[in-house]
Amino acid sequence: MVVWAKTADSYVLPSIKLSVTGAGWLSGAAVGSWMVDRELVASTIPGNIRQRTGLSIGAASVTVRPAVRATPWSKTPATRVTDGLPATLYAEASDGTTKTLGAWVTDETDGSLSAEDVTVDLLEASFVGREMPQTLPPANWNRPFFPNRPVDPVWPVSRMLEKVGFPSVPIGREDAMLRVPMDGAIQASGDREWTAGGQIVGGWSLMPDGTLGGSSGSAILSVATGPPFAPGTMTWHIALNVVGTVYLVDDAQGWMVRVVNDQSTGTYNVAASNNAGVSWGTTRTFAGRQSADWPDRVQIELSRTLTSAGMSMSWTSTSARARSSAVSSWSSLSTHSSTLPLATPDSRIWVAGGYAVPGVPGIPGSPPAGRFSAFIMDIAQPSSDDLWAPRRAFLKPLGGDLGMPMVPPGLDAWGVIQDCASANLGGVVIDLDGMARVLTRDDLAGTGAAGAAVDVGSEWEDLAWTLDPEDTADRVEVSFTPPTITEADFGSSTLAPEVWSADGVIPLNAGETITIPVTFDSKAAIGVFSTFIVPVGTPSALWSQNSTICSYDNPDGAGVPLDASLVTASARQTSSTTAEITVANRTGAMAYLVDGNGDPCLILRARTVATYATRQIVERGAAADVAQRPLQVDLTPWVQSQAHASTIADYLWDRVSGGGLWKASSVRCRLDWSLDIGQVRSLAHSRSGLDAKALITKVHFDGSEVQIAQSLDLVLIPWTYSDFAATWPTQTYAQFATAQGTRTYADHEADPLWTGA
Amino acid sequence: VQVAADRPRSEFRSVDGNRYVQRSPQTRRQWELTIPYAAASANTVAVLRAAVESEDVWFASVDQLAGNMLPAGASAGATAPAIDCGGVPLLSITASKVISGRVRGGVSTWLSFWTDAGSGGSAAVSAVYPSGTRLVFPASAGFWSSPFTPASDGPVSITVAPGLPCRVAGLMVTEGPSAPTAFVHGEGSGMPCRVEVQDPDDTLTMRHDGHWRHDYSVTIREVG
Repeated sequence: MVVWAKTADSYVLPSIKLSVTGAGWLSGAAVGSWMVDRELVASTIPGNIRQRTGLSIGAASVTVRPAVRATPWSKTPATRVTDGLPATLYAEASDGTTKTLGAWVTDETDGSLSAEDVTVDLLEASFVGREMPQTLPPANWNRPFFPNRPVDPVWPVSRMLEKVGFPSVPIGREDAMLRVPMDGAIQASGDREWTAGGQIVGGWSLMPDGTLGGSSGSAILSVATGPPFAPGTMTWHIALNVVGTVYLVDDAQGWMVRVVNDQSTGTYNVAASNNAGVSWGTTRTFAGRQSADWPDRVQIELSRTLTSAGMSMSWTSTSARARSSAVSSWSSLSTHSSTLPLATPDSRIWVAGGYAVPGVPGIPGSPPAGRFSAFIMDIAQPSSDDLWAPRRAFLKPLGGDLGMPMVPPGLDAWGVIQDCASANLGGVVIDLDGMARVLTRDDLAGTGAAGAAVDVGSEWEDLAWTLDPEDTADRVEVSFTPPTITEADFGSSTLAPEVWSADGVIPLNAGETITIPVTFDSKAAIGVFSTFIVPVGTPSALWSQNSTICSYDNPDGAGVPLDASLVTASARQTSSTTAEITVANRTGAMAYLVDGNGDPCLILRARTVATYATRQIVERGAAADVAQRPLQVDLTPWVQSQAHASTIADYLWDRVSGGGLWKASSVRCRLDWSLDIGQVRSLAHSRSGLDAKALITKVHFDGSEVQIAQSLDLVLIPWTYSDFAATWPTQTYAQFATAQGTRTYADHEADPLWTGA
Repeated sequence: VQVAADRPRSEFRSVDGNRYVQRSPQTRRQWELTIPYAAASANTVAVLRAAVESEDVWFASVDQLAGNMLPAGASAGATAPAIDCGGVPLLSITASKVISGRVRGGVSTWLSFWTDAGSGGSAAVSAVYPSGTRLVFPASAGFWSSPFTPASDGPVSITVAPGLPCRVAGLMVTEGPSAPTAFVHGEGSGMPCRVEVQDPDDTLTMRHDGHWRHDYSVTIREVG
């Protein structure tokens, strides 16, 4: 990792270079002049409260003089100018060390015949080409059994970061048979032979290493093994993050692996069982926590031998070994031999941390509870790139609860990330080392430890401040849309809630099968869809509990409906807000999806449906009819409960009601590579009495061969209780009262950190 | 001959008056040469030709070739203690380092350095030059020098691979009939260097024996 630091008083500038993949003429090309801009705008941060513009795309522009003349019409690919190529801008010091100034993609490129210089515009790589509408997998899908288990708002952020190349867990091989972050969502696997659902039985939380989905309970990965097992030795490769003791169990096939990865006791070992934990092979130790990126990650190699004896087959041994990094040594094999008849060809794998899995013996139900996340399982030997790829995201809980997370139609991944973080008064930035970092509202409010202090007098050219009334408000109105959950009750004749219905007549050619992608309107479906039935005969409860299909051989609905076996339909959930309905016409003539009146008739129902229809409001401050400077913030759908919305409203009101929030723009500072957006720094200037904390919202570089001018945008952050507590860390109230003896509340308000010194 | 150095710089003052200076990573030199008619020679022809040809032109000053041809800043490291390099104390190189320079073909050239300990055959300084390699394992503290003659003009790559306690400083590549005895140029000259020869100013001075004689003055600027 590069050390990003403040530069020397007399600083020999590094050479700035640009390398573009796929453009030979721009390989380590020396940059003449350049500009880089990174800004934090998407947050409801103090000083920017009305600037909810959403997405901030880092931008750069560099002028290079390539060694060879390059043009868009060049015949040689190496000197042909094209756009959309990945680029790296970096600074190279005279001693050969380099600092990366971000990952970019080339945008517009300008040149001319008369000048050799070429100007290349760059866009932040992570944002580019991701303007695809996104959806979220259904969370909380086992709701009928385990209601009220909302997720933290960082969950959709985590999901979307993964889609734009910032996974908080290794992505694994594209065709890995299972890759389950274990963050509470259904997870479809890429390979058709295997499907998996992650069912979080216990509560989930954040792992100490910043990955989402550490569960203190257990998870079932329902693995349908495609081809039947054949005699011989089979090997699986498994990696997951473990804290404490975790069991991996296939309750159908009887293998069990126990992994202990316990930093508190320094215990790191693995053991295998061939008979579901009734007895175990020798426990084998391995060197724990060998990976800097993934200290809690364990890779397990599991082998089983299936032996054929006459007409039946039996599992005769199970072996496992483990290691804790891509390069550290494997433990010895823990091998356990017994005879266990092959059960069915299907497996159900449980991952359990100190939790009694129903029906599975051998797992102690008592603490110490283990926690786990980021499960990857594969048949082929994965490379270290798959299981140990460096982490690209560091998550933090944003606080709050999403009962039914969903993405409004049309929103892209960065839209989700920024909207969700912003609605929760946080932010997501890509830091100088290329890691996506979630900043919580507490981070942005500076309640954590501030970074290195800045002596404004000696390091900044000036501090031009602005006090803008736009940054205050006398009324805050926070609106949100809670999901209304409707659940089918099959014990009565209650309707199964409808999630989608056709609004036009769908014709089908003879023998035709069509797939209809559908998007629910202000709804999210959780769990299984009801099967399709044809409503014929005597009306019954089944009519309203199942999805409905009705078809005739004419568009008017004349005659009798076609039999249920002739025109069939099935539905597959593709996300919480989308599905695919497949309809097949098995007759030799045209069929029309209509009812007896000739009206469209294709209705999809689900057991559990969340409807987002009722907008609610939480208000703070003056009444709506007297407020002069109201602030309205819509948090839909990233805040879904009254309590959560109230927290946000309180926080916001506290920020905007006080006034006196000044900000500073384009502050030229002494070059300091360690300054970055999202950081909180303490500012001090004794001559003017400045003593404040500020959040860096923009970092701008303007470089040439002569200078690198760095300038910052900042917003002041009010002192918080944590600052006060830090000022009086070991003192009692009596000491405080004595020291503050003659001061009034007004004094404190003006200078809350006066210590009496 | 006066050599003008050209290293762009900028200055920034803080609100309380602290001065911070940023300097360009590279300096580029410029020579103003006068060639009087009496000194006209093959060099004059070469200069005139260089001014009009579109090709790499290399410039070298004989005194600097004999001093130290490596680029400035390449000869010493940044680690204390300093090593006595023939009377000049220089900080030592303790981490592996590769230095690129350029040498002339057919000229007797020396790779020299000082060390404060023997390397036990593991730590070495080596030069890769056109058609050859020179490798020196210092056996004890002191001055080490080794001759080589490049087959043609071309790049030279010096690799310093010190191994503690063997530290190295005062690295030199010099031309001359014998090894250098002292570290003359504190910072190396980076010679030969690539230059641009601007069109010479030409003063017609006299006619002699039916030939016109000219004085020339020419500006040579380092490029690259």
